Amino acid sequence: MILLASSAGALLRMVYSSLIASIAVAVVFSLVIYGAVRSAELRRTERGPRATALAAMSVCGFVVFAAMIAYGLYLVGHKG
Amino acid sequence: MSSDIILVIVVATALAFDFTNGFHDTANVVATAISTHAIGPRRAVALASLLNFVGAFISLKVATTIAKGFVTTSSVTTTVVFAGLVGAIAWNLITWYYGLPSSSSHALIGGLVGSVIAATGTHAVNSGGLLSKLIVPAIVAPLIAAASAGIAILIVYRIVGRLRPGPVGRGFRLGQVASSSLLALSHGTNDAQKTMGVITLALVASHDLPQKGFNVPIWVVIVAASAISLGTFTGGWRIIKTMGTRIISMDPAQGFIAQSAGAAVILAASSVGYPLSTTHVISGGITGAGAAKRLSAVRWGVAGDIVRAWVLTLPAAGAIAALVYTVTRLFGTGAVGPIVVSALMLVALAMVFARRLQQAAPAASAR
Repeated sequence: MILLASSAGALLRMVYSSLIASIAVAVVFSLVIYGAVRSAELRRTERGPRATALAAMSVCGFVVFAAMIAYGLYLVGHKG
Repeated sequence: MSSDIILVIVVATALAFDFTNGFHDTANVVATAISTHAIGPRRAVALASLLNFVGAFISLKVATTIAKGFVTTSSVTTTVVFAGLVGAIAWNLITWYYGLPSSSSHALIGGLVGSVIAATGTHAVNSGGLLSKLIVPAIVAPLIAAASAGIAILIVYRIVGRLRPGPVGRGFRLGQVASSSLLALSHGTNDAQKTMGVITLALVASHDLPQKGFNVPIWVVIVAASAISLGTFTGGWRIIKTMGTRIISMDPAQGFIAQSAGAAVILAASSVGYPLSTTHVISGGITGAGAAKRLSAVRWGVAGDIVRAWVLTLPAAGAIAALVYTVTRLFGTGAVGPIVVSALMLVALAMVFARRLQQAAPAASAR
């Protein structure tokens, strides 16, 4: 019973951490693509400041995306 | 002397299993990236092979679960481990022959449990551990991968759905290089550890490691990482085809999401010590990414074949292992049994490969 209870905790941790991680990674990477594509489109129509803001969002998103992967790997290595 | 010979045979068989695991499982890690043309097949397999090797060094928690979690350590002998491994290899090759992406991990654990039952009876099996650390996660993990991939793809389509498809596709193809790398790394982390756990179990059985408080030796980590990496580099094309094209036809965003969800689930499972099947998880991710877009996009017949192979894996590998144990013991407790069985297995392997090559040759000439 104790074994099953402790395993339920571990299972729950696996469930919520993988759900959050996979959705967060997908959303952040989509924002990277959105920022990059829209910024390129706006640059062609000469809307400079908005294009720059979207490009900055894309770069920041990419940094967050890379940081999330690095943090995930760190957690696995650290706890495992 | 006899026990040393058996230990050498067991370590060699475990590494052969690890090789077939790479051969059988790891290629499907890169299948989605190949099918969406995010990366060329040879480059993808080479990258997966390298990252499998690296991933094997990240964590040892799954190896500990395999070595301690499912059977009573004191009931395990080197012959039991040997029979379990042969059962797993045989089942892996049968499913490879028919192109079915079944689970090498479950074949391994099924094999071990089957041979332990044949050797000492059901009391040596830790059924609580089997249920809570293997069967429940095996059911939950693909569902989580499917659910998270399904939710994620719907959000992603909302964010990028109105943009021009060309640049978006190129962006997700680039993302797929990262996500398939992460998936390969997570596969190395989870799957290579299973062989480490089995070799460690054999070392405990042969009294080269203490029964309590043992750790996985570093040489075991290095040889297991090398074997799975080599297996990845060598094969698995039949299963790449099934995983990459037969479940659903994917766009790059779906490929990226399926791989990210798979990697997240496997890494999360590795951190709590669950020996998951990469095949199960990535199939769940692919199905979720496809079904969320359109239920009819999933070829449910193929998905059903895969589920049937999964359900059969534990009992089938266990039954083969029990048979192998019984045959091995006909020759006594020495090294003769494992030597004879190994020789028979090599002959069977050669016959299977020859038959497969004969079948491949007419197909190639027909094209």
